[in-house]
Amino acid sequence: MNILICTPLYPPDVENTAQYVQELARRLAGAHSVAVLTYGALPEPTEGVVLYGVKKEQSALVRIWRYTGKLFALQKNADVVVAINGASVELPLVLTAPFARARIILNDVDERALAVHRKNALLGALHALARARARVVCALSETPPAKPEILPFSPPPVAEQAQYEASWKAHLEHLETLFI
Amino acid sequence: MNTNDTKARWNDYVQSEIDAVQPLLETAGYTLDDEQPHVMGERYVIRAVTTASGDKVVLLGTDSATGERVVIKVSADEEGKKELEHERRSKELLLKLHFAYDVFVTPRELFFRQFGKRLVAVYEYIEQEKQFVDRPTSEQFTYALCAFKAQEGAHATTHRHTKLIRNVFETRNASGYLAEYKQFKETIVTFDLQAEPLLEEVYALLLDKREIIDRYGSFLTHTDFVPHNFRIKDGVIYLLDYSSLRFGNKYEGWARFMNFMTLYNPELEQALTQYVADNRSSGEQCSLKLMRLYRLSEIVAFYVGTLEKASGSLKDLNTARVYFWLDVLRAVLDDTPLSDKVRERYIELRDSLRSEDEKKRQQGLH
Repeated sequence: MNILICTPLYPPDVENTAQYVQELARRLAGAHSVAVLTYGALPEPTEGVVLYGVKKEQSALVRIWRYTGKLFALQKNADVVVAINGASVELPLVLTAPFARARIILNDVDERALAVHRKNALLGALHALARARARVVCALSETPPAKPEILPFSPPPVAEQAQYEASWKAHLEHLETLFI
Repeated sequence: MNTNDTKARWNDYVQSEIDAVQPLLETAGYTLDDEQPHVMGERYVIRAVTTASGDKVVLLGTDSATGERVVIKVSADEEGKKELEHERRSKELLLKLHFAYDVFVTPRELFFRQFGKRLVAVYEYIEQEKQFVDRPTSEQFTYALCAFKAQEGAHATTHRHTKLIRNVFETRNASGYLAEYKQFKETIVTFDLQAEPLLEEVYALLLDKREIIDRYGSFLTHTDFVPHNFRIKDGVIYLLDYSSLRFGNKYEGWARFMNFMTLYNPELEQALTQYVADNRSSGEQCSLKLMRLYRLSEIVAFYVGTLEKASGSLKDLNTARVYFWLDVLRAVLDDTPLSDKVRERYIELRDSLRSEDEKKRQQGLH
């Protein structure tokens, strides 16, 4: 299956969302053909994943326009589009979704963006529109926790790592059901 | 100019500043301490090399009304005044950055005023329960990691971010690092031609991996994040020096700190290396190595720069420093820990060559 992940954040961005998306892409790449479209000229290379970046160092309108163009072109070959919430992805998604043959999943993983949507009526409306355009909406509560850190002066986080792996396994199984 | 001339000029300068500022401070309700550790020892040489930005004196004193200790920064020099104002603007802007998720805690500003041609800034003195290097290594690790993560939380990636910071903070990308590295290399080679192959090897690596330098760029980074620039009280890290903040490679601050710890606490240096290996990507590990090499070359070039202004024991000491840091550079390039023998030999020599004044200045510094 060809999967396109559209995200506002990807490493070297440090936010939890960026880490989540990279992990998702890496894990899905084991079974599917995965591409990621993100903002940033130099996304961090990820094994098995094709990365497309749109430069952030230009005005918001220009970069969103370019992202929209890229999304329009890439979604033609995709069976599934996983869109991470956030206005800079939702606007291109809303504009291109009517032309997409792919199954669109909106993944509400970015808590910070959800908080912004709740405060800003316009962005809230955009989010609602993106949800309407998506076939499925994946909720924040369904996403795995942040990866436990291995710290030099602490015992290895064995239990947390096991929980993390189990959580990813369940998350991927759930996503696979949404892909079909 | 030899050591004696430079030292005499520095002492005259400090005394004239103290004489001028003392009555002004008294009217403002502050008293200067009799002993001023921040202007003693090797400070005159460090100042002679680093103060391209301007002259300023850092003094300790007391609030006459409350008895609380204070830190006083004074400058009559235009560039020195600009530096104090820049530091103030940096603090203010950091608090306003909507894209910075975590900010440093800063000592309270008690007073900031122009007296004639002099700018005087007075800050709360942060009394530490103990010095950073006297804490257990595990605690040092936790505090350091927390401070690095706070810096990484400010990532200026968009046009709007860049617009917000451009008038206050310097920004540096791979081209900037490479251009400056070339200058370090030229300075070092004028002193020791034999170091050239090593420095060439480092340059080739920096050039080859420049994309990695840029990939992890545009992060807030403190370029002089070492224990004498922060203090810890009640579990909170207070940043003292805001003039060394810029937006550059996220590992530049790590690199300075880890290079410092190669000498002062190698166990902590190794712990941080291990943390990055265990938790960060291979690109980030490489970025850390590149920044360490860059910052090591800077420190070697710095000590080469002091040699013409130093003589006697200090010249011998700074020559030993050049070779010690070149040894560290080789070790980092080869991904090997510095041998304990090299470190111990250097520490022994350093302690035998340091002046009494400098030993006094070092007490309580870290």
